[in-house]
Amino acid sequence: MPDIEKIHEEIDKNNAEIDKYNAEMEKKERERIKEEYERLSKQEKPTEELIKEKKEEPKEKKKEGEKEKIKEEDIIQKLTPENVKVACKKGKPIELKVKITSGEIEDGWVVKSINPETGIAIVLKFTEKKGKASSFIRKDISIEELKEWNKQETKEPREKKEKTGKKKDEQPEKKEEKLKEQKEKSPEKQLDKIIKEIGEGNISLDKLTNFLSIPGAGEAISKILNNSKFQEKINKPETRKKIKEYTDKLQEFIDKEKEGPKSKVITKAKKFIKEQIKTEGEQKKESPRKTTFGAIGGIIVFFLAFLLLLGLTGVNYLADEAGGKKRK
Amino acid sequence: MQQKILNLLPEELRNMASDLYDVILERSLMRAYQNLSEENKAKMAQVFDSGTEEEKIDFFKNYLGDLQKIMIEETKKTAEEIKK
Repeated sequence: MPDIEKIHEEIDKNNAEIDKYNAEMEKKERERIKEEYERLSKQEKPTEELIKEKKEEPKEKKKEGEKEKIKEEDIIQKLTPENVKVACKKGKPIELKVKITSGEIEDGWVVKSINPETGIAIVLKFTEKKGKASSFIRKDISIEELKEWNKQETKEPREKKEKTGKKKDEQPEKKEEKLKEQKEKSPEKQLDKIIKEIGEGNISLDKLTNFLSIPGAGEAISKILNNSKFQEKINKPETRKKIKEYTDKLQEFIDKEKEGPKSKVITKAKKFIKEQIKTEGEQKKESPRKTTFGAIGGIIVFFLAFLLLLGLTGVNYLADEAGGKKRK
Repeated sequence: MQQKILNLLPEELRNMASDLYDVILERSLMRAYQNLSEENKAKMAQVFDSGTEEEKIDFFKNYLGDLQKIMIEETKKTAEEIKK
């Protein structure tokens, strides 16, 4: 017994060190992004090209709607790795809208760079809170998504606003409601709700699998699993015991299944699917095949992750499994 | 993303994920296969025996389009079975 205690002490110590290291790395990354952002902001001098562009502007002002539409179309067209690089060098990073976690499309983000191979853009947003040091939010987003968000926002809402003749701030209540609704729909909120329901014993497998099929479910699960408290909980002796019981059961089930008769055609089809998933993972490209094979694998893996999650968030899923006592 | 999530799981469960996925995939394929007509069963055997990659993908799209739905159902069934 003393040995086990020593091991746990060691684990706790290691976890504390990992947390400390992660915090340091995060701090360093924030500082680096802040420096870069400041550097880009300082370069905001009018270049010859910009002066020329201004001179070339027509004297007659265009109608507001048309002007905005052109501006948004420009943004979409400008989103190429080369243009982003040039804009940053000029000290005028491209500004655009980004869909944030709550589901809302938010203004005031800038593109820092685009990876030409993966098509993933790094976008930044400067945030400042009272009494706190300023910081930056960073997101890695595909160009397609950025284009979509900047396209959507231009057409529908603005046209509607113009038609009704109502100003932006005239309906704050509705806006708040909409925001609340969007927040409720975010994967994180849905996951919170599901975990709460599980705790009350009300969740169904249907609800779970539906959740797992929505975009962002994987990220939401990953966030929870990544949480240091959660990791701490996983390393507790009683949790490890439950996991052991659960995995023993799983192994028994798998072994039994493996012993069964095999069909040649099914084995070949299975092999083919697994090869396809592997290739998709290596290529990391969007393709029609991805929806055929990759998504299937994703759902199953997420499901497995969730099974574990259920047992470790106070649900007693694993305990129920082991003890054979099911909650109402 | 899948690999990232898997890496966050305890080692013993992570190692089992692939095996369990194998089981679910095999069960689902078997169910989908049993739903095929005799003619299409023969076609499937021929395609996966000597067909090209394109032919195999086409077969999945044309005759096993509901595989994902079946997999979700089989996952639920498997989870229930492990519970017992």
